[in-house]
Amino acid sequence: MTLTPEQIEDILSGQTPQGDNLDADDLAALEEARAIRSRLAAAFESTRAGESLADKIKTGLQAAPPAPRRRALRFPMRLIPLAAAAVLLIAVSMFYNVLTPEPAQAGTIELANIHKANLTAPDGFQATGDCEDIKAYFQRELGFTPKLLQQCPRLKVVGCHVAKVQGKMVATYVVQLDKVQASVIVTEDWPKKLGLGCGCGHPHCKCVHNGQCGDLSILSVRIGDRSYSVVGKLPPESLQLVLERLRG
Amino acid sequence: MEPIRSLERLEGGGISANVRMTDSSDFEKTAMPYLDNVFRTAFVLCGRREDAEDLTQATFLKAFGQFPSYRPGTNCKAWLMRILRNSWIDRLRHRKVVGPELQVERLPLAAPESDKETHWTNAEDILESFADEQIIDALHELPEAQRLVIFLVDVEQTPVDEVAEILDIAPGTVKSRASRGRAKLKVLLRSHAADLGFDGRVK
Repeated sequence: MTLTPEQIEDILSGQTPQGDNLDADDLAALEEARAIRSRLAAAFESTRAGESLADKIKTGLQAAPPAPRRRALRFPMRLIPLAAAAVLLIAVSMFYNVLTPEPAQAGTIELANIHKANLTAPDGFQATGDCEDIKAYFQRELGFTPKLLQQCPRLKVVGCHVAKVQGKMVATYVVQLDKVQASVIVTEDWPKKLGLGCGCGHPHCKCVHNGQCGDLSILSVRIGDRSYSVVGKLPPESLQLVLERLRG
Repeated sequence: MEPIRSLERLEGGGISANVRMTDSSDFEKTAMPYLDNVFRTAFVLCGRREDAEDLTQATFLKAFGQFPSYRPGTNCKAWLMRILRNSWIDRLRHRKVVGPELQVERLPLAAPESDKETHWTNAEDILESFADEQIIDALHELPEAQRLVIFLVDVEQTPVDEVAEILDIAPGTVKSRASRGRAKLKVLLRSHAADLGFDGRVK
């Protein structure tokens, strides 16, 4: 058998052509999967909602209060000076925010939540310390391989997963530091965009950024074209060790 | 053009905006064509026709409430499926609080005799020998995560990326769940197939 289950799924869904060089086991596996698919589909053909359910729903909809839909605003000309003042106010407040980032913004909370989820080994979590397996997993899931840290007796990778930060899929892996686990989360967004702060006010600097979310400390640094954030219930000095190992 | 049924003033802003109310006919035209799909998915989740009807009804009412946020022209079926999934999760949470309902006794398929992987040499014929109910019952034996993925991928023929979005999981996870689910389904059906006199080729 030369095909992985994932490749079989790709062929079944038509994402990948079947090709001519498949062995007998591959062909049998494909034939069987196709047979199960079509039999399942046929089994559900007669499962239908029925008229009475459709009527019940329609009655329910008519009884429900109508949902409001907002139309495009027609902007009154006399409010233009007010709008200009509002725009100015927003610009000033944005400039202020760049200089003094909030301690816990949405991005920071998302990083903390990913770490918390990692500790529960969620569905799909790859519990492996094998760097090659981890690289292959990220390549398959996300099409890139993040920088993995140089392992040492105090520090080793124990698993990996993919998650979402600000709506984008990101790589994350868990490291064991002495007896505590921390998560490394690799994002395209810069640390400041994630709500983390540093001494300088530049939005795209390569300083070490830090933040806090509840009892979790977060350190983040830009390496190459991605930000590496380390999250854990550890003092920042310990998380710094992870960053140093990442920076090589 | 839809009738403007009321005008409202947005709170706080002082700038007037027209708010027109969506009547149910617009929603019905968009969402009701997917009633069977939503019902079947609800049936796969609940396992009982009556529960599936309740869940479907709740899903459509919720969807109507959220209809203003639906962007016309986008995938309505996927949108409804996401609402269905969230309604189901709400229901499970509620059950955790109030305690589980009595489960309907289901006649189980015979337990698998062996874990050895085999490929059926005449899979189509073997599967034809099962009644629809037996296939559906076997599907219900799978863990929910695999069951829903198998259903969406194999029965609803939903693209992997779309399933990933509906279930909020990675596409790779969808593929592995589908593959594992199908393998498990086969194991569940295998012993019954053997009773019917069909043999598997041991890999």
